[in-house]
Amino acid sequence: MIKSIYFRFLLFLGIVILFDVVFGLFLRNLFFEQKRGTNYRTTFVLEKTKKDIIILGSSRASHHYVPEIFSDSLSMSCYNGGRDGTLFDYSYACTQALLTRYKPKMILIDINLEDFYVNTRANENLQSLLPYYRNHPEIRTIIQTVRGPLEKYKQFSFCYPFNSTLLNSFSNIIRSENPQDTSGYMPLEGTISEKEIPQVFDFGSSNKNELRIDFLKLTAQLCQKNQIKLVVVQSPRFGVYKNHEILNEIRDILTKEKATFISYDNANLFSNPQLYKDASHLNDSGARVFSGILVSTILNQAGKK
Amino acid sequence: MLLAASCYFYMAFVPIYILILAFTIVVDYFAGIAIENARGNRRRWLLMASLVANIGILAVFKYYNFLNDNLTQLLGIFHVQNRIPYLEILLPIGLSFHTFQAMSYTIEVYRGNQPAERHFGIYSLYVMFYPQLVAGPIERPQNLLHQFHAYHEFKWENIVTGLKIMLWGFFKKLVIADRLSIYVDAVYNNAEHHSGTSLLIATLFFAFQIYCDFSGYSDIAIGSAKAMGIDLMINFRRPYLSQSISEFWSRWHISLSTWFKDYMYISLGGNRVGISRWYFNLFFVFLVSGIWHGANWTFVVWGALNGVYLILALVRDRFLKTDKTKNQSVKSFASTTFNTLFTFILICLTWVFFRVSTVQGGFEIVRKIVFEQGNLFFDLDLVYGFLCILFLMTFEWIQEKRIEKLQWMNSTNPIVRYIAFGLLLVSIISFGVFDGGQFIYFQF
Repeated sequence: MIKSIYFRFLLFLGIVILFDVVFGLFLRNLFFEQKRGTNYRTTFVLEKTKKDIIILGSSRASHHYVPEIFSDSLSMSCYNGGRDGTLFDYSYACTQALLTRYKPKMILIDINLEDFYVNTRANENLQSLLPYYRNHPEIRTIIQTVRGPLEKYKQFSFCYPFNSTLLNSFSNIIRSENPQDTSGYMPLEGTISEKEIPQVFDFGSSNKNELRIDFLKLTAQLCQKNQIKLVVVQSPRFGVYKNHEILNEIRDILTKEKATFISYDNANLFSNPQLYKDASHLNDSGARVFSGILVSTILNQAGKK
Repeated sequence: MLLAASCYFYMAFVPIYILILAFTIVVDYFAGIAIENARGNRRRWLLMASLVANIGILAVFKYYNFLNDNLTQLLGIFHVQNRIPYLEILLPIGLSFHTFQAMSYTIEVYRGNQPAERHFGIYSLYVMFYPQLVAGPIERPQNLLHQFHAYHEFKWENIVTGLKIMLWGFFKKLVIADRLSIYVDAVYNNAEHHSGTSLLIATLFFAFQIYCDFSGYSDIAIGSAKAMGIDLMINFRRPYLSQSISEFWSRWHISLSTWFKDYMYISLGGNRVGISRWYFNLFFVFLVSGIWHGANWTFVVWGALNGVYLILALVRDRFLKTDKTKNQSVKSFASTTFNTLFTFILICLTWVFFRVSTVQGGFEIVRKIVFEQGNLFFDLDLVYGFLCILFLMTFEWIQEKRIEKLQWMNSTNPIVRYIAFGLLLVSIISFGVFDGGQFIYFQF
């Protein structure tokens, strides 16, 4: 009886493992077969790009920075690897992965101040990097730190890293137009209403997220060690920040590691609602204005040095 | 050991709240014995005392702030300030469920259907048996108490059966309910920016989200109890295949609907009264059922709508002189499909008020669905959602029609069974949403 139970359990386990491996390999092939879409952009940043300037960050990165403006003005190739719904953890992990392959001349990271406080917005919690866990040992520690130590055991499953990717991969593969995104920039069209009132972000009672601040420090140290110019930018939003002492802490950390920090916090230059698609994102016109101003600022700072 | 585990489980939330549970357990334990030993009116007074204690706890923790809020608004009309303070308290987890379960015990002892439990530990376990403590099924003492007294020898079959039921529950929760919730939350949380078409789809999705979330939890509870050799009652029986509202309520949250039927509806006279009183009984019971779900007028509207549906169905039957004793099995496919879809649409309308946070918001959503269709908010989760619903309804239809060849999970061939459950497990790993949040009915 006991032997029969053990045999049945092992048989069931064998069937589960077989399905997991077969379906997992299918999902993996489908995932890395993509030539467009958000996941392809992450693959491109981690495994393929050799551009001189890499832009990282969340949706505000992908919608605010126009690579061609950077390329034309700085005479360097540029790729925008911003990804919606990510936090600084993602940017740090991407930086780690990039630097194992090559040394870009500049890494530009867009930040959201609220991400350096605890529990401020829903995010993907580095789920987007799970498919790369097996082949990128340099990002494993970051993933385990953010998602928990059990992550290394979950990665024994072939399907788990590709959770919820099937339809996305499939739709990106079957779509035929413009398969390859060469710059990474994702323009937004439309404007917010002129009557829109600026959002107020008050961080007075929020606790700092020490882990994310540590990631910022480590990123800066990594770039400094590899002699890569790090530019951290807080791009414009249609809002007002209050009680954000974290800004000074970020500035101090980056200055100490010889990184550049540029904040468009409460900038009057970007108070025109016509530049915004919504309260958090510039539209294409706004992004081009912003990219031009940012490039000028970088050049001016380089000229002063 | 089970009692200790249940205590530990409950205290993982807010430890001090175990005292609330302890209070109701002590009151009902002694009330049960006293009711059994008492005679005449004294029995009724003891029952009343027990019910008041239970409902009192529920009223304070669940409804105090709601009632105070309404009082503030009412006094505001007369420009009078409400000086009664609000309570800053969290709702104890599972309060509505274990309160009703405790009340069913004293009522059944009073009715003579259940001997009073003399073993304090067994009675405590009846109230706080952890698989069903937080969200049911709301058990009856006749079903549960004797099982705690019985000796349960170790059986692999129970563990295997229990795990299978739990796996199906996890599939419904993680793969279907939490996937649907992504689209539902995106639309309902920004309802003013979405079209009627998107709101319609989100409402449809919510109907399945709440079903899979709640029935998924019930399956997990039933499965984990089964693994320990305890049989809990079935709580859902393919409710969206119902052909009438009345049938729906015999298939949805069965433990609660039977509770209200046995302890409130029948006590009010049920249908053994005049027509208008009968309709009142139905409406009142559903109003109370709505209030049980939550301290918000939206739940009252939800309950009232269900009550109105049932009354209208009775009125229709009266006018059409529908003979329910006639053989219903020869209905045409078209008729069956129409009835099923129509019932589902009526239920979906009630779910709008279940999901929203204000009555006005609910009416606004209904208005947009009817009059402002517009463009559909497209997201890949929409495709996932429809595929999940298709899979679920196909599975349930196969179960309903008892097509044994297609019931792979119950196949006599063990290889087929293992493949079915293997696929289920791999589906959970591949498509489950693991940061989807808690079960919906935990808030009740």
